Amino acid sequence: MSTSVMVIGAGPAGLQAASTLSHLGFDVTLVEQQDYLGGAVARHQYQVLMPDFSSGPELLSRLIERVDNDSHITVYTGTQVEEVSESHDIFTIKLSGANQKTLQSQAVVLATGFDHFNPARDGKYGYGLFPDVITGAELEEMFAKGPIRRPSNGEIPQSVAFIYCVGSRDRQVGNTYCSRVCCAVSAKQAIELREQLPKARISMFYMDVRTYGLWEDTLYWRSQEEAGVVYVKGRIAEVTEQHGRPVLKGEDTLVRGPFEWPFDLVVLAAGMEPSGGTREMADKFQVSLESHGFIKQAGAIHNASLTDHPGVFVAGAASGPKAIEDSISEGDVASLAVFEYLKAKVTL
Amino acid sequence: MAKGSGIIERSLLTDDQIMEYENLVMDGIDISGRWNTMLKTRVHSRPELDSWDEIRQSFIGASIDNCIQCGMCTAGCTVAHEIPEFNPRQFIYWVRTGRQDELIKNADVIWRCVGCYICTNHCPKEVNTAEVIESIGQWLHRTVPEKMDQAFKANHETYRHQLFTYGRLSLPRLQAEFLSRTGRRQELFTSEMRKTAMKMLKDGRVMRTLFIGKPRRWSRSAMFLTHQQA
Repeated sequence: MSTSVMVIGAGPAGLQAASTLSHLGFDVTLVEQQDYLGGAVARHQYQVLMPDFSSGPELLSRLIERVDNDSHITVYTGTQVEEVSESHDIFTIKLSGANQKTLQSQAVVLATGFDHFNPARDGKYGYGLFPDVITGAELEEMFAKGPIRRPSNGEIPQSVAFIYCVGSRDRQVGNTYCSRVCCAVSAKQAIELREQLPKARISMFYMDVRTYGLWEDTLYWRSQEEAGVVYVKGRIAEVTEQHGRPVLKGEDTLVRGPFEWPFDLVVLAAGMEPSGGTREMADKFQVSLESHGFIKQAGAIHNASLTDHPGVFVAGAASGPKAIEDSISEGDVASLAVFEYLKAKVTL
Repeated sequence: MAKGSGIIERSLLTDDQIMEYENLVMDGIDISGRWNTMLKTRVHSRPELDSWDEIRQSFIGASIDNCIQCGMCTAGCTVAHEIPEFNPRQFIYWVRTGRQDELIKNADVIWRCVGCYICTNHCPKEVNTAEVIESIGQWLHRTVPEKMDQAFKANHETYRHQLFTYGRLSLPRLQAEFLSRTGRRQELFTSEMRKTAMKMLKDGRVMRTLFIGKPRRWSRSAMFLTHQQA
């Protein structure tokens, strides 16, 4: 009997894990609850990826092709994990949805990803109330579909505001952590916007700019130096509407002064939360969550993919906010951990 | 009666925030006297960005977009530690956020720069801060010349005039022109000045400084400078 591993979630982390596990000699079952592969990259049709402005569709077609052309990987889309039982280190997993089967696996990789914070939960931004207030993910969808226009009237926006830390670093909404990538993603989006809107005023409202590591100059500085984006330090306390335009009310904390500035388009840099699937799978596979609700890494210094349940591994944003490049690396990290774990039990 | 004297926490307000009229009739109702004291809103609602465009497109102001507001310029600034209102970081920020009201309020302060270039040398983002501040000052000079302190204005114009005319700066000539522009010509003839003049005449410095001549083909360079300026 060959050794079989189940990967749950077919975003960048899950696709990478499936392919690497197969290269290591395992039979892999890739389970995805949606009808499509690619996770958030596919859902929001990311065209241009942070940090290197590479192509989202190209990345996906490369990852998906590898999985599709691999005879050791079975892909089940539109399929959910219904029930899990475990005996003698073997998981018996009952699937429901498009593929109603019961399978056995010696190890499981949870790559169940994140959901964007829904800004409607934080009433002050007027999301859902004013059509010109959109999320960063919706801006990505706009980039994919065509030129950037104001949703309210179809006009070209003359001014665009980005509001940082929506649903992140805020006890009021219950998320006390930083979502890590939104600063850099917003800077990337502003640079892209500038290409389409050479004359528009683009302002970023932030409390810190956390384009950490190598993204400082390649994204943050570049957005200012090349794209003329202005960073205004101050949080937005309220978005209202006047004469059909969203008005941002806030305090400029660098020069101490309240302002109420109208903009044509407002983009909310909504943070990352553990996805519904992440919570559900953590429950079914009995792995602990850390205090923010992501899957707890049991030995992050030893290997980022270890959970506190032997045989269950985690990759990607299921264990915390993460950039795509890190999620993909963690797909490999988890595969290696699975290899080490099973090597001790079976002869390959 | 002093402006806004009826306001209880008067010390928290500046004069220009208070509107008060001796006689005021609104909708046919006479509200003369202290009852018409009104405060202007502190909320800024109309960013004015033409100054930003002008400055970032100027030769010396182009690096303004590099600024990340870290405050290194003001931290090392020679002047800021003497005059707290002089804050290069803040001037840059006001330009980029369209706060022309604040810039104009500080139109006189901005010229206090002594040109030590510590800001430029320290800036981690390679903003040529000293010259960006100069560029903002020039914009203010064009926009609200009346707001500039007369002595600073005379000093500024003296340097410009001397440089464009002669291509070189000579201290006696600068001093003479500055004093005459500010109506203090008589200060040239104090006994102290006479003594200095005699001394300089004897050791030949007068000849050296007054007749330093112009750089070669100066008129062409001057033409270029004047053109750049326009």
